[in-house]
Amino acid sequence: MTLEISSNTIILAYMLLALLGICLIVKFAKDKSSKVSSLRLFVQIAAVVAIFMGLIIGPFNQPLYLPLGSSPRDNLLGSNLLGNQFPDGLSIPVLACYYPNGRTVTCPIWQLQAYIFPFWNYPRGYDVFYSTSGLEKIGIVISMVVVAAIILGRLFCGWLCPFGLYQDVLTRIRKASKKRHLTLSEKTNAVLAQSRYLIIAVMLILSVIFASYAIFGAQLIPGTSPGGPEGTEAGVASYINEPFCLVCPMRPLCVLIECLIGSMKFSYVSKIIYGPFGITGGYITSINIAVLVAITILAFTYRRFFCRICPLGALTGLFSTFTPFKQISLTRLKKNEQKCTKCGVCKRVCPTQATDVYEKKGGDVTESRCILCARCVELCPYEDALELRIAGKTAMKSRNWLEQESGKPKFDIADD
Amino acid sequence: MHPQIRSCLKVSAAIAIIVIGSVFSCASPTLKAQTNTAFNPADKFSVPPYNGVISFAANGTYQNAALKNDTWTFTDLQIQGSQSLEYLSFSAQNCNVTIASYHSSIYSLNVAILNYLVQGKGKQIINMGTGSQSVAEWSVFYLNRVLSNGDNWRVSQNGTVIVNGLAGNVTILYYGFMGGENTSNLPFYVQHSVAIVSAVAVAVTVVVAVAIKVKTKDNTKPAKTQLKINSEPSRIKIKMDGPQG
Repeated sequence: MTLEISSNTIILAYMLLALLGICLIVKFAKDKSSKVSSLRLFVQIAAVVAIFMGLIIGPFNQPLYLPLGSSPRDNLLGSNLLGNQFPDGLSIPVLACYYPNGRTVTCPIWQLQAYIFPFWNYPRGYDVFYSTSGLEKIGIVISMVVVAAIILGRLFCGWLCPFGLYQDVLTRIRKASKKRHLTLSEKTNAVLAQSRYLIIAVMLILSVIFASYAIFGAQLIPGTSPGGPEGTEAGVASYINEPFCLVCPMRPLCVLIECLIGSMKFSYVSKIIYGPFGITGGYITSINIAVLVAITILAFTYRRFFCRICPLGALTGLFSTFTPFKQISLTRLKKNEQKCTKCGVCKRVCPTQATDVYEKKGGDVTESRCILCARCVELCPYEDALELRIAGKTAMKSRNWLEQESGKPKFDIADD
Repeated sequence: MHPQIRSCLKVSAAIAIIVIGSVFSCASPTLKAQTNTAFNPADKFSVPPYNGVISFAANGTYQNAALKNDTWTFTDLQIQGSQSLEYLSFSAQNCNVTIASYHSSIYSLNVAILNYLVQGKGKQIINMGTGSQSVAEWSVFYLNRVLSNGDNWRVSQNGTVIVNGLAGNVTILYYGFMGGENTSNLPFYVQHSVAIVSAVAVAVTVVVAVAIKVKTKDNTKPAKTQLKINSEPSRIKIKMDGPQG
């Protein structure tokens, strides 16, 4: 089913979202102990709308690529502002594919893989001299991720990532169905956290292997030479240079959202099926679907499961929680040693089971597993024990919510 | 007014301004065609030697239309509901063609889409003035499928697309990539503008972040005398509070 949406509807939707946002911010500013989760949910929804609508930049309803629909996917920022092509949109560390969202925001993981592989100039012939521009593009992508990580760190994961919202919705459904979540052992969780870096390494090595024919002139794996136009059997090799994208669970959701908002034709992704992985329309593979199903089940059972193994989150964490970035990172979670009673609520409610917030005595407790969702800040029952600081200013801090005027605790953390 | 509410109102006003500004920026510029010779769907542009007829699905205008070498050439063509097309040459052999729409990107990429309906399995020779002979930049869609090059279509000299043996709805898509443009003649700062801006962004972010960190540290560092005074009650408080582990 395709739902065509006019720009007036989009404007109205944005107006309503803005109004809701203003109400929430006013409410939050009046009472800082109010539910951070509600504000976060609003920000997450607004971010998804903005990302998939090309950050509201438009133009809308431009029939630029007929088989896909009328997404503003070719409004490249760099071309308009800087007189030069930006590498497929702004590299923002959230899981949102480059093709459906207007190329305004792009997943850096896709970019890093794609720019290693000079598929554009071989042999489909877009005449891009990739041996230099590819490296330059990789530099640009890393620069942008570093900037994003220094400013907001993994706040992107907790507050802006569309796949984070998907997992949070699953958690809310689970809570509504009165089912308790499961918890991984600390050892397993630590192993998963380490595996993120392994995933990045494997993904980049595979990108080089798949690109070997174009880079070294020799196929390291038979059948990986690129060729043929998109949408054909011969063009399949052009897609396997992005190994993570073949398994990324967000890809089918991206396509689904675009089909629902009318920016992509469902018939295109459903009718053209080809290749060893059952690629539909050049986008979704059968592996994507299988991984999405598996992650959905796991995220339903374990809170924010994918965030624990997400390579993009690892990359953002790398540039915000490890030296030297740690010293200058602007978004930090702070703990007041004197206020903390080691009650363990923070550890219990953390969706990624980060432990530093509990185990460290005090000071900066931000770690690479922490998605800065501020759930611990919201539910810590001790005044000023935890605070989320952005650029040296306190954005949120814990409040004594146990002693409400009504005499009734404000939160129920039975299933957090 | 309470300072928190005041600051909150300021934030809300800023958000509202950003949202309204963004919404108004949605209005995309439209291109107006020159008012020249008008045509309607009843007008036929026949190609007598090849037994072909070309017509349009909607009303429109063109500046000039001429039959030369058995090919109709239109300049400044504007089909109602479509974008204007500076140049289109079209020849039909043993078929009747109804040109439905034409769209092009008015933004960054060089994109052109021509959609037409064919009656009879004849041949169509189309040139949209792109000049591209690169097969990779052309796609032909028929019955929602991408046709491989050589399978009912090919690209000839000067970006002329030849479609053969298809009856029904045909769409020709030209997708020119910016990367294909020769930028080597541009000044260094234009060629690498994005990289330069990214590097500047990193540098500015690092400098600002360091400045904020230094400033925050200075603010939070208490004076030595204050430390002595404050440290005593806090220690007492910890002891009195009891459970720490």
